[in-house]
Amino acid sequence: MIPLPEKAKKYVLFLAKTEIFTFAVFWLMCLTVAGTLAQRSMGLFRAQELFFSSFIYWVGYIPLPGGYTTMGVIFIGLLIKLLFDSTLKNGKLGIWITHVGALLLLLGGFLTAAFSQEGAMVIPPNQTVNFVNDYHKLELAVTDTSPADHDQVTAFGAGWLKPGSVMKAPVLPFEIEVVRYFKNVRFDRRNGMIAAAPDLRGFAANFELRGAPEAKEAEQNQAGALLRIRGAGAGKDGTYALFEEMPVRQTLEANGKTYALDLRRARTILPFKLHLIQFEKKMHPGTGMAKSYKSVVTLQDGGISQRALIQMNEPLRHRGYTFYQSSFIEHPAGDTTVLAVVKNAGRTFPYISSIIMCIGLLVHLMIQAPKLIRNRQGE
Amino acid sequence: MKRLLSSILLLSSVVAAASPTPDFTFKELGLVPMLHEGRIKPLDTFARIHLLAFYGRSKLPDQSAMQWLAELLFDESRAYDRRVFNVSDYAVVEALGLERTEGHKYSFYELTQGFQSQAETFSQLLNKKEEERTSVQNHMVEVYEKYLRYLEISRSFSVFLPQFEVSSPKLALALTVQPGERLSFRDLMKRKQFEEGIRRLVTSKGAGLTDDEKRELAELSIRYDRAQRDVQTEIFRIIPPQWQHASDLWLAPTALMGSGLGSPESTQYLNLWKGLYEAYHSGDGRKWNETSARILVESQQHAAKVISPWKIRLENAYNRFDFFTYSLALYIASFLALAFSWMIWPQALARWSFGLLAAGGVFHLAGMVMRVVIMGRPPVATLYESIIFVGLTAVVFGLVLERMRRNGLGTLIGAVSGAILQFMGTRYETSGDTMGMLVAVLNTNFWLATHVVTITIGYGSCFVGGVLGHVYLLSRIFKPKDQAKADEVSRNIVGVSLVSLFFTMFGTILGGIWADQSWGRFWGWDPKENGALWIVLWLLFLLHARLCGIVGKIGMAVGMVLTNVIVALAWFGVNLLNVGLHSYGFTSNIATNLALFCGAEILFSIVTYAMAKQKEQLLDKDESLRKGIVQT
Repeated sequence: MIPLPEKAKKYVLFLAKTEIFTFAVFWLMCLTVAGTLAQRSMGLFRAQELFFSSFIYWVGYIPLPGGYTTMGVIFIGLLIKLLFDSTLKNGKLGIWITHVGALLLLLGGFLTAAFSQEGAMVIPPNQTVNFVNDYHKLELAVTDTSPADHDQVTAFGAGWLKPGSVMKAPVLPFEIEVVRYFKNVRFDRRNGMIAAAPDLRGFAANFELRGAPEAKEAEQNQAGALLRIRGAGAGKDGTYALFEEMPVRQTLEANGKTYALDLRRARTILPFKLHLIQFEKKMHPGTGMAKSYKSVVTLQDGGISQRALIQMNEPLRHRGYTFYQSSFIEHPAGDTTVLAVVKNAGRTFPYISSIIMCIGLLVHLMIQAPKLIRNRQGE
Repeated sequence: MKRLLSSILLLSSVVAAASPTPDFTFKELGLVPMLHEGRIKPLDTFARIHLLAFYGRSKLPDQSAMQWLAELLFDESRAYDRRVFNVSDYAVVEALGLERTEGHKYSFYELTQGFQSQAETFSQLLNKKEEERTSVQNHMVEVYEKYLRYLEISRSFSVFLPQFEVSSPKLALALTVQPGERLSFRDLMKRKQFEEGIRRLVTSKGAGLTDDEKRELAELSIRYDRAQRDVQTEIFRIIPPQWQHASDLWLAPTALMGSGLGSPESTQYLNLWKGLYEAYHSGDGRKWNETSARILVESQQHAAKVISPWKIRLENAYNRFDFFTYSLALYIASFLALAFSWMIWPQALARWSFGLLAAGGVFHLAGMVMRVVIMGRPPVATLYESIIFVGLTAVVFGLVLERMRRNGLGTLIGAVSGAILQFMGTRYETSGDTMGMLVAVLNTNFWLATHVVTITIGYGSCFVGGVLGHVYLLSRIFKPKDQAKADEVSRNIVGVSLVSLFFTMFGTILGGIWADQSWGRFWGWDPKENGALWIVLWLLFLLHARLCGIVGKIGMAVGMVLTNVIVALAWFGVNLLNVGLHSYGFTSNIATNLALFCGAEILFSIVTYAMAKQKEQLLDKDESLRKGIVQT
């Protein structure tokens, strides 16, 4: 227990009042209900952003506390209670321990929300991959394919992808301006009747990008952009169209080198590589129901290459990254595996805090049980 | 679709069967193993789940499930005429243009006529997605799917059965068969001339044939077409994995023929089944019994590598004893005994009601343990199992409470929650095999044993708290002066809510840890996760609100009643959202029942809260009056 100056005590302890927690926890429940129901119409990602991973949630012009604020209030109240308030400790050891556990759980949640990274690694059969795709963020990558032994990539992050921003880099002989940007895109073949503007290049010469309504689940969107390139030289300068997972890569030549343009999920490069030997799925006999999925991979790190197995409920852990069997893409020539990759700073907290809370509640139940369920003969 | 339907009316066997005599036994045949929906199970289970699906119960008024299955396999015409399909939705009956019948039962032939008259509508319906159809339309499609399933089962042996007979000598000559010779499709496949003959005659539109001969030709051609399609029938997988092929796939008789995977052993085994058919048709009970005994011995030998016979026997026993129905009956009896104990012979009847509850619990537990042994996995993985398990938890809680307090409260809790949940369980059995296989992510015994069991115990405990809440509120209204007893219940409510918090919270955290272990995030705001969180937050809210005086004893009791609503929503409600990882086991009538339950509980809460508060005020007034009198 830390003693507090008398003056401050009143105000500080106010935050730790049980009433405040009671209302906060009730509000958190309302948020959870709303956030769950909203998933039906707006999809998980947006509902989560709106209700849970937010400080303020607007209903019309009325600001309401979002998930972060509510959990923050609970966290601060709990912290103050544990540090400064003596009423919790006297004779309530079990309760005190439980609350320490709850505090750790919230702390872990905070660390996860603030520092964890997650994404997907897609490995086609017999290929080696050393990067993770972000689930939501995009990047514009300009790849110089001229060096014989490697690709020289310059990537511009999601912050650049808005109309009017101009991207430049010393290694690039040209600059790129974003003319238009679409969160979700569709394209139509240009009508032959109207002559295309003369500066349209590549895909843009034959197709026109248009904005499409956003899909319910954010992952289903296919983003697209119209880019204007300057400084590549006559016949190369002009407007280019890009969208995610484009079947034909857009390229241009400048200074005798070939550059490829890609709008793709932002990549995080890992300090090691995974090579897919085989992806295997097993069905329950005589049904179309999956029994298990697994990927046999080799992990290549620091000159050592070792075999590893990733399957449902059995992830691969390496250097703080964890790889989970998440999905697959079927192909007659061999299935591509999709692994979920997570690096989470708060990962151990739920384990520790659940053990602490378990101990706390058991201690409390042991103290309380005889009082609560009293044998009739004893009364 | 039209072709399919018109061919069905011709399907009945050429030979009229004798009906099986009472000396036919079906026990041995019921023990024969087969593969169905990815699981090896006895034929008896197969028969029961299908009869449950078609008829709504696992036996017919005059037939056991196995008798029915035998009839369906070996005597189509009778089976097609039997009213086995339960179509309880009048809208569907009307849409099919059928007459309303007593008991909502229809035969296969009746449905065929219905589908035939509405063929157009159905082909349109089948092209639509489930979400695009109305609930009546979905029921219609459901009936149609069951109908096709029925057909498929009935055709399991068709290619081996002598269903072709040419009576006209002229036709027989053209098709190179003897007039009056009975042939199976398997026989005909070896005679290329037969198929060619039919093709030729049909293309020439039966030139030179009489009308009778034309009709016979048309019938033969339809039969032949149908039989060709029957080769794809694969539901009745009774042939154990063929030893020369290292696979765990069982084959249906017809598929075996199509795939060319047969072996001398499998041929011999199938010949036994053919013998069984002959015995059935000739009404020869002795032969039937002998053959089915031999089939059992052979099948167990062949399947010995993949399943041990005692597991099959155990499942058969599980089916026959029907533990859960007994336990339901015992719970109801226990409740009745308890109710009467409030009027007459309080002590004796109270003891009886406790005994009945305990007996019910033993049956319940026995059924549960048998399931665990048969499936080789922890008790809860599906919605059905969670219902059964929550029921058992509540009964155990009730028994423990009763042992400690001996005032009938524990028995009441156990009997009421046990009976309600067991009854709900029986409603779920009709949806298919309750011991179905699990999808990949659930295929882990450790997490099923920890997370799922913990959270379902939490549900059970919440349910107990809910019943206590009802008891408290009612006693405050009807016996407002018996403060001591009510206080006792109130203390129990707090205790139970703590226990509930313990289990739901750890269940939820364990779920998070499972998620962290399996797909890399502790918490993903998935609806089912959120549902579990509602309960935890609600209980936290209640306990802390009580601590700082926001709610009193009555408020706490109302809160526990509402916990029932929240548990129900978290348990069943989120499945209705149809999003996320956990949306298993959706059935459309849950929605109505759930709404009714929640509405009733909320109404109960409001009414009893108002009444209890009013009684409390009156009591306070009395008290202060009395005090006033004493003072003056």
